[in-house]
Amino acid sequence: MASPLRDTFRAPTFIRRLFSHFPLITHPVDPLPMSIEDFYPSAARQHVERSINTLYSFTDSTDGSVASFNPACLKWQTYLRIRNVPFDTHPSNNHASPSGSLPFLITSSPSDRISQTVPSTKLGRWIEEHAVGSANTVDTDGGDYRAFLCLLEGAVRDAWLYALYVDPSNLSSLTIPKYTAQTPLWPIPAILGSQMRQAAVDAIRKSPSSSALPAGTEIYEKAMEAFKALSILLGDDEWFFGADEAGMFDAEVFAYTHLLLGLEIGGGGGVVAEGLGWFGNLVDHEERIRRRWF
Amino acid sequence: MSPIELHVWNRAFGLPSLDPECLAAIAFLSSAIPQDLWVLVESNNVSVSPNGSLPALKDGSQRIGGFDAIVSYLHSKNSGGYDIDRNLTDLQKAQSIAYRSFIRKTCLPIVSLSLYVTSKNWINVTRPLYSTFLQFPIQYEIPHTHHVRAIGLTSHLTSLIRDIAAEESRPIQPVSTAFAGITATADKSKPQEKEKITTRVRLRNLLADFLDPIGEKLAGQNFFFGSASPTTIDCLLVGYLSLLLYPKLPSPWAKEILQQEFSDIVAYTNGFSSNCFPQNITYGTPDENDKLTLINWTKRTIENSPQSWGLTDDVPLNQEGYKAQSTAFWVAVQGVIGLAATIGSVLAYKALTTERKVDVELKEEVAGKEVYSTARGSVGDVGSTGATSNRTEKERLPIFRAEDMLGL
Repeated sequence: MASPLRDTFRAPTFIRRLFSHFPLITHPVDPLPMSIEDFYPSAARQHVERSINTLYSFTDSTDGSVASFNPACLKWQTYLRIRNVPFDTHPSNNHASPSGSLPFLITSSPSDRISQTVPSTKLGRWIEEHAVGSANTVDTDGGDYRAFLCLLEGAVRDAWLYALYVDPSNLSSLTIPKYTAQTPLWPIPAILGSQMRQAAVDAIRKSPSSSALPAGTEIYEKAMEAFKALSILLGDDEWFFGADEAGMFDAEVFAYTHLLLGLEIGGGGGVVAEGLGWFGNLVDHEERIRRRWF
Repeated sequence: MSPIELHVWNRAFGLPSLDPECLAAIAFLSSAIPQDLWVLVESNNVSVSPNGSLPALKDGSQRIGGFDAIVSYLHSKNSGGYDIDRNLTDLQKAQSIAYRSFIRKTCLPIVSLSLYVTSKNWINVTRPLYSTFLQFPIQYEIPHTHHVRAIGLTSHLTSLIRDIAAEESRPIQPVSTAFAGITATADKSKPQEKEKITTRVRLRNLLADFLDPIGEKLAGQNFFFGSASPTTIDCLLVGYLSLLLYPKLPSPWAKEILQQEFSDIVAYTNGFSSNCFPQNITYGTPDENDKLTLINWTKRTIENSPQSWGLTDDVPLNQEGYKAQSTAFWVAVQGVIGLAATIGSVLAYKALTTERKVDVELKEEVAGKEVYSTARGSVGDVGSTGATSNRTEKERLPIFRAEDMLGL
């Protein structure tokens, strides 16, 4: 007889009662995704066609001429503007990105209707293929270019992370409000904030030039040294490496100088921003790009 | 005047230290300072350094940690007499700073891959090496820390690491020769050979990524900026290159590729390293407080334990306010969540149990099988349950209910 066994394995009344309440609500069916128009061209014809590329980035505005507040996003935004690619920006966050990092570009051109998603790692090549040629002919594989790029991605980036994410005053006054603007519900900004801070500490510690116990003063000193080196590199030229037109490296430098000079950074980071002001040619370089493209 | 002490990691591989930054500092001091003014101390004790990393310099009461800080400290000492970069132009000084970060970013992963992450080298050479100069419990902690850091630094090379590991494990695999003919190894050997070549090409590309710009810059000169004497960047470069070139390893890919394809860089390293790592370095003994004794080590481990357990991140610079705030915040969050969960569970239990209706379980025989059905009725309402059971007996249709699916 199976009945005693069944008796043993029957769920308790309490559990059965609980589960009989589900589902509580049945939600209406989701609408079809917008990308359905790729498969049904007739649907696309009815839909107002977007005629412009969209750059999804950390930003407050949908206007492509408003600078992003994230250096990695601002770098690509600047370079797209330098290369005259028309685009709108769209406020977004990492979860929206197929690669997990912003920015990414969703393209749209009248010739092919199927839009293409370009993650930031492939953005450089996409711009080379789709934008009109540039007068900037700096060799991006050259030793000096790569060395100074390492300086920017090492010392300057570490100082940026330390000032904006690790330093508590800027974390609560600048970083958290900006990055959690889309989810301003009470505990979420605080939780995301502490997660971002931890991620920044980890990133600084992983940096090859970091010591075992990274300290703010040391990081800021290295950043000042880096800005001094960049200032000497720029010299009296209009653009870096004596180019005729702004290029990728100018966008990279601008991404940091614009934000450091523009944001009201407090604490030790404020000292770096102030120190950056002493290098007149870097300030002029920032203003040159800002005036022309933003 | 007591000589300046340079605290470094232990000597290894026929070199005065096993760490590239320490080697760079040794090269710098022997190029910049007269030999009798400094001593090398193999203290292996990171607490000597204010920033927790060796090399560290101890000049009287002054302590300086890290290669960059040591260089700038000694440049300003002795009214610039120890400044080996004094003849460089401003642009060259800027390049020197930039190339320092370039070398660290591109070469440190290669050195880590070669010495720590290539498992054959780690197991047979680097790991046992630490046991030769460290005491019993410490010889497990320090190499582990270094290994973990090396793995972190090479995390972007995962597929390459896997290929190296696969290549290494292969010669062990053919256990039995008796079945060799059946499993047709002749066919297999060719793709293996091919795979080996691809791994080698990828390793070569990894090295070329670092060495091509350096080789361009050197262009056959004796020193990086073409001067007659070494500058800071030469010291750092030789520190990293000698760890690729001189250790005798069971999986010597770095050395082989360097010797085969980058002979000018090998010549540069050989030329400079014999001068900057002299045989007659004066060794000093560390002070009692700087020695890596069991007591010192235990003290430091206990002091650092909150950080290693993830309770605090010891990032200095007035973090106390933030820490206090964040701790209080988390306690509050946990309290609120706990309270909400308690109240919620009490309410849920009440809602589900104090309902005025009860389940009456009916056990019936339907087509020779036992089935259960549940009739719901108010307490004491015998009539309704009876009616339901009567109905099921007659019609024998709606016996099963969703909630019973769980019971069956």
